[in-house]
Amino acid sequence: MSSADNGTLLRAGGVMHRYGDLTAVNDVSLNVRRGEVFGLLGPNGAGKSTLIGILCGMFAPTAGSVHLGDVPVTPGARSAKQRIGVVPQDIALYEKLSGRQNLRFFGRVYGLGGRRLRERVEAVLDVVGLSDRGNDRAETYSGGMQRRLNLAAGLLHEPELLILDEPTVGVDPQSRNHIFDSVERLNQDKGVTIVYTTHYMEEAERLCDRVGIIDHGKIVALDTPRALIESLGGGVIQIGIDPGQAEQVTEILAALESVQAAGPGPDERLLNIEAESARHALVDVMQAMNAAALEVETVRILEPNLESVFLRYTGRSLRD
Amino acid sequence: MRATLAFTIKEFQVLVRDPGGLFVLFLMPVMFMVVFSLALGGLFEEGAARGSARALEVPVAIGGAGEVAEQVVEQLDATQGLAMVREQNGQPLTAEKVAQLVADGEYPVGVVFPEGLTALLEDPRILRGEQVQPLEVAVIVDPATTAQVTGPLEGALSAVLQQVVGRRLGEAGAALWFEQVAVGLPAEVRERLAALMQQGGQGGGALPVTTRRQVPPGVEREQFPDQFQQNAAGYTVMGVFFIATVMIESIFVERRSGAMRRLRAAPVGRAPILISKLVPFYVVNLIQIAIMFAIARLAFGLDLGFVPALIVVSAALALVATGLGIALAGVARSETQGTGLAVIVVLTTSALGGVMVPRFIMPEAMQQIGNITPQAWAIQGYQDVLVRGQGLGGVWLEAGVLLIFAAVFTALGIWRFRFD
Repeated sequence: MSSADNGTLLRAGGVMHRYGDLTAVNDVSLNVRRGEVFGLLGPNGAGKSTLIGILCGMFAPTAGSVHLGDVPVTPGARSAKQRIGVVPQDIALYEKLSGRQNLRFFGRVYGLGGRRLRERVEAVLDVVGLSDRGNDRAETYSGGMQRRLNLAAGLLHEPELLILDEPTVGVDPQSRNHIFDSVERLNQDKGVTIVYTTHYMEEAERLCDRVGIIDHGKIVALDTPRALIESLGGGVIQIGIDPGQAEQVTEILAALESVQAAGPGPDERLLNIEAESARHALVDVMQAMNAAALEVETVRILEPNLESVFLRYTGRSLRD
Repeated sequence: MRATLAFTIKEFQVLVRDPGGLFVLFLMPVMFMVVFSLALGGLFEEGAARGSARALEVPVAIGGAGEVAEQVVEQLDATQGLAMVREQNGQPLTAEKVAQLVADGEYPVGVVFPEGLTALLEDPRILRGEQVQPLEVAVIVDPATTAQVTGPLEGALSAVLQQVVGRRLGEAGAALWFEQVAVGLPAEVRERLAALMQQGGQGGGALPVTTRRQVPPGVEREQFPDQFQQNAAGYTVMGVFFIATVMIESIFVERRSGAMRRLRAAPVGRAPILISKLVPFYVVNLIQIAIMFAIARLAFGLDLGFVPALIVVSAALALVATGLGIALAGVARSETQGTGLAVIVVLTTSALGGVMVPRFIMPEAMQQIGNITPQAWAIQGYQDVLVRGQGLGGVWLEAGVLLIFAAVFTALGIWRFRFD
């Protein structure tokens, strides 16, 4: 991972977006530093794709603004868009065209032509490992290969900022690793700044210098993965209880010395307990529950990772 | 069984989620029923009533043809399916006016009686059996009109002329005979003989009046087209407009794949994207038109007339068709709705525009509505070239109107276009 910090490349301030009564993005402010891989981690429906759409100028936010350097990013801002590469969540390709034909098309859209275009097409095919399949129709590719071609189409014009929206959804492990390698090489070797959205914590942990956790359209935490994990302390214990006893249980457990905080889990039958040492606290929790004649239906210890970070900040799992 | 039920329920749910598509699905047969009933109602009722929209209206110039012409027109007017139009704006029609009305396409056929018709029948030379120069009743026909339309009028005109002129000659001949030869016959016998002579006058023989079919002055083509030649323009126009369904499908497939959304992030505006979308389909349309006319020429011997004029009309027509495709894609909320809407719009406007049946057999109101369809202008333009032998000067109006349609449709499409 590169941690070069040469200042802010992308700046979003007070961004809000509504679809009718639904607030998809709610007052998001963030800075993406030049040369970093910035992760947006959140479950499906958290507002990641809408935020990405605004960050790359697909559509204007209901409120707030986005700048690439000093240039406002708006739907009409062609100079800003020329500096941004986008790899959408959809496999946005023309199935009837070959890989090379697809890339030539998208290259021309970004103003490339002639020899330069031919060189760039071959270069990006090489980056994603599809040089030998470039003349085959995209519809004959596996899902993973289509994802790689999708990525290649976003690299053609050598953008300063590459925005990847869930680039590994539905791909096989081999293609996933290929995409990871490509992203790392682009960032480390070419210095491309990357915004990477995912709902896989492993990807965020592996690739991202910093991670913003997004839920219900809001950034609820933003830091390096390590700092976010360390902020949890020892980890989280998740216990299953009788929903009618939730208030009583919370009160009892919150009073324990080894417990830092206790609160509702992803649903009314689950309670999240944060502790300096989850394993030590578990003994106290079980004793306290036994003493109060309260039943514990299930017990789960969540090791400190971004999943448990997400759980702490949102009360629910990334996969919910 | 359970899986089948689940799929069935799912399909219903998907359909219900697209009420616009359902609306189009239901609207289509209704539209066809209504439009075709209105447009073709006259063809399916026996005996067109006088003065109704079903009667063929025929402008007629009597001028100085006199009483005989008046009688002929009266009898034609009394004939089922014919309605003779003698005046416009309170003024009797002249020969020039009748020719102009037909040339302008306002009526498919007109009749002009020759000056001195009645006087000729009183010429003593005829009664003496001497040869005189016969007069011609001109039947002015729009070359783009089918024989099914003009045939009944021409037949009726010949029959009525023969009857009226024959009777007239019989009367005159009898009067002359009684005055000069049979002066002393009793009144009763004279009456009976006169009736017999009149009957004999109606019987036939060469009349000094004939009918002649001709095109209006200024319309160069003397050749009358056959059925296929007349319909070539119609089939071409209708085929061209079906490009709209293909365009809609293409745009929605691109939207569905996310490619449109991706393009939204690219440094290009919507107009270049849409225009680049139009160009291939425009070319496809031109190729389609070329193939249609090539087949018509090679297989059916269609005379293409002045080809540059044909190209001008075709170029404008193809623009309208692609513009319509982009407009409908912008208006429709789903692919099903879009293609259904395209079928309705194309078939309905084609029917109103005279693609399937000539507009002049439609009621006046439907003819007026037809004027707001691009198909009507395109067919008019093609027929000007193919049937009436017009050059560039004869199609500029039609091409201009088609370009206005194209501009309106394309602007609507760009305005309503959505990337996803």
